[in-house]
Amino acid sequence: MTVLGERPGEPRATEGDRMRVPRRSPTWGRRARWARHSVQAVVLAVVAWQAVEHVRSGGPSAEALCPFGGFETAWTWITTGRTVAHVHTANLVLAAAVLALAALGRGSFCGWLCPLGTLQGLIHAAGRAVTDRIPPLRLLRRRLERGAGIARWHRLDQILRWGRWLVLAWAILGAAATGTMVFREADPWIALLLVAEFELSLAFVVLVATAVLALVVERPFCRYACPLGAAQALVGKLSPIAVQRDAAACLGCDLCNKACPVAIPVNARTRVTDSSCLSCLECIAACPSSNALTVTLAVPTFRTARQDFSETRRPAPADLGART
Amino acid sequence: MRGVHRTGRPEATTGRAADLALPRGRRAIPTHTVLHTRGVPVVPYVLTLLLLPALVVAGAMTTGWWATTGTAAIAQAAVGQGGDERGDGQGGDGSGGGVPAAPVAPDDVKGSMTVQQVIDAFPITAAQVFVLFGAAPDLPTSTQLKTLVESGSGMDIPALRTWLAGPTTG
Repeated sequence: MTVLGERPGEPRATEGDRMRVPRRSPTWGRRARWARHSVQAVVLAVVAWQAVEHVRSGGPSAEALCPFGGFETAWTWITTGRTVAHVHTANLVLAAAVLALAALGRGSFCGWLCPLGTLQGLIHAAGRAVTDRIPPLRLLRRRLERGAGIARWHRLDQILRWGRWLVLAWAILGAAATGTMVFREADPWIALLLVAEFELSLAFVVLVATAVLALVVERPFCRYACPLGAAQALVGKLSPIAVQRDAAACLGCDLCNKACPVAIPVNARTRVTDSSCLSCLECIAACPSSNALTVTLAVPTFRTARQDFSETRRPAPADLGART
Repeated sequence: MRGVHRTGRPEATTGRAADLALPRGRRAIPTHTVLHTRGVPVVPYVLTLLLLPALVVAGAMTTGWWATTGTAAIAQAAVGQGGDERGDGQGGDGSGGGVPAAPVAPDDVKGSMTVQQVIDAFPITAAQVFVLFGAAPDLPTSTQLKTLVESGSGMDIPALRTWLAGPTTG
């Protein structure tokens, strides 16, 4: 069993030391990204195919493939054995699958499967590609990115992130109280599926706002308004698996922070247990150090937990003045 | 004395030329955590993540819980297993086929259902439905309800459900 931390007898680093850490092959990162994007493309294609079939031949709507419908209908289904309108047993099954996935991989549904997240990522990538080729826009984007580091924006970002919890409460309680999908009126995913039957609605406004924001902020709906992400986060907090940073191998290059689609400060964490983590593994793919970021399973071991805890509370002389 | 310290991982002791050097002025901070952790291989982990929902869906399909139409969960799942029980070619398809499952209650009625499905499920005639929607009485019963809605008489699916609930539940 591995106990992370400084090993007995291992020489301590002192200020000014040159640390050498093994480099991860850049190919690894490229393959990891390729794998994720391939899975996202397949899921997006399946959903798009079902949406087209629904319009073309009256087949089942792609709404039947939305796990959040299962959460919305849960109360009605438990109390009456029926589902609310637009929701079917497939939604309940997918909701159960997403919960199981969250228990194992936190927000991995969002990071690997969710087509709305994929579309936001595509829009953001397109926005970057365009702005990189037009000098005035490139300058503006860089200024915005520099501005993103200021405290005021950070504070606003943190406040806005509470939005998805509010949306989750509204969607679940509203569906339980009224027996209808109240969130459907503001759901950008529904607006996208029904884009062929265009109607100016709140959902369409949210969709457009999401698309515009995604040009400058990666995954804005996931960060600030997605109730499914919030529901997963509740279960994901119990997950024993997380990305873990070994500071002894961390270069402090911030590439992991820049790669994170939801702007988690990965290099300030020991274990990335943030509720917004998508388990997309982009941080690991971006990390040039082989051992700095790894996926780890927390093993409950009660026998030595007290001893480890006391050791962590006792500051070692060499740790004083360490970079935080 | 300034020296080169290596990380505690076995790979770090191999002294490969591709090693990265921490910038001067930065110090390594030993990781402290109260948790005992084991590394998880990334590839099997990702494969497990992808297989898990697929297995849940496959299990639901096997047990008849996967239905992409209908609002009465258990009833529709059962219809899905039974397939075309009425022999009219428009039976329920719980596996998510092209035709929605037949309604078992007014709330199950959807715009994608045909007039035939509705008159089979409730004690009404096709003529009554066409009159309700202000449509021509010689239309085929295979017409979808949403087509009748789009004809513009002002009648919609929620109103049809309310109307159906009268004679069937009263």
